[in-house]
Amino acid sequence: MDELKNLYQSWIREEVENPEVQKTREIFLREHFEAASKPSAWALFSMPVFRFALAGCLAAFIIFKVVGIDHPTPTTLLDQTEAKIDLVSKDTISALETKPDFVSRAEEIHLNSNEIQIKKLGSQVGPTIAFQKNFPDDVQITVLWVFPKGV
Amino acid sequence: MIKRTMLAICFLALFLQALPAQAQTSNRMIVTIVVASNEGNDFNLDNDAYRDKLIQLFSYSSYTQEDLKKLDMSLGETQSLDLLEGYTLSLTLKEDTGATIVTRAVITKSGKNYIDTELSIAKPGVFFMGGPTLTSGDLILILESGY
Repeated sequence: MDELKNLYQSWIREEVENPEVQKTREIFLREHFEAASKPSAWALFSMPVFRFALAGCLAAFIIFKVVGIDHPTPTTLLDQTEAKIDLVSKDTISALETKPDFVSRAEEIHLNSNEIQIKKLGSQVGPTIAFQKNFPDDVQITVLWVFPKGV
Repeated sequence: MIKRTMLAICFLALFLQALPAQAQTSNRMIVTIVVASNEGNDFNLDNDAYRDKLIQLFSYSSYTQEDLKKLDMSLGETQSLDLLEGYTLSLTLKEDTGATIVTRAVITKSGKNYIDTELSIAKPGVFFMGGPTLTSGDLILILESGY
């Protein structure tokens, strides 16, 4: 009985491995089934835009964590053509990042300042950040910073 | 009555004479070029008022003032200032309402814009631009308007 079973299995194997059968199988699969999608997570990480965004978020997180932000905190970080922040009480820092020019450009950044409004900020070499600090002597300083090597 | 009129005319004349002088000085932009690094603990700025501010804003251990330039800005005019190691600062006065100016400031090197910004500044106002790398540290500019 086992001998018969082995004989049957080997016959099936030979049939399946037959190049003609393999070729027909591949054609059939190609015609009737879509190619399996490749894993996309790594492709997402390898995108420069995603890396810049990640670096920007990390920078903002570090600044907010280290310096500390009183409420209200930044509520909007808008798209490429307009970015606004409506902040901020005294002794706090408000911040906004932009990516390089070829990715995006922030315009009309309104930090909570009567003294300085950033109407445009961009760079061709790396992400930029704008932040503002109120000092106890009522001096308010706005800082525009570029990270030429990335963050 | 004539005395009062004469007095009023004199005051008016004095006031009108003073106005242009005030406007002329208020468009001056003072640019302080600073190199920040973590080599040593040197701190030499002409204006010591910025010492604490730099320390609170940044985490460098050394701040060295390389130069200080005063630019008298005219409306619509672009002035270029050579910084260090090939960097150039271009300043353009785009609007002047008296109390507020709109200025464009661009730091360039090798044809690339390192920072390109346009600011509305209520005089007097201070802003810092920085980040471009130098062989001995990072470049920081202190820009004062209306002082």
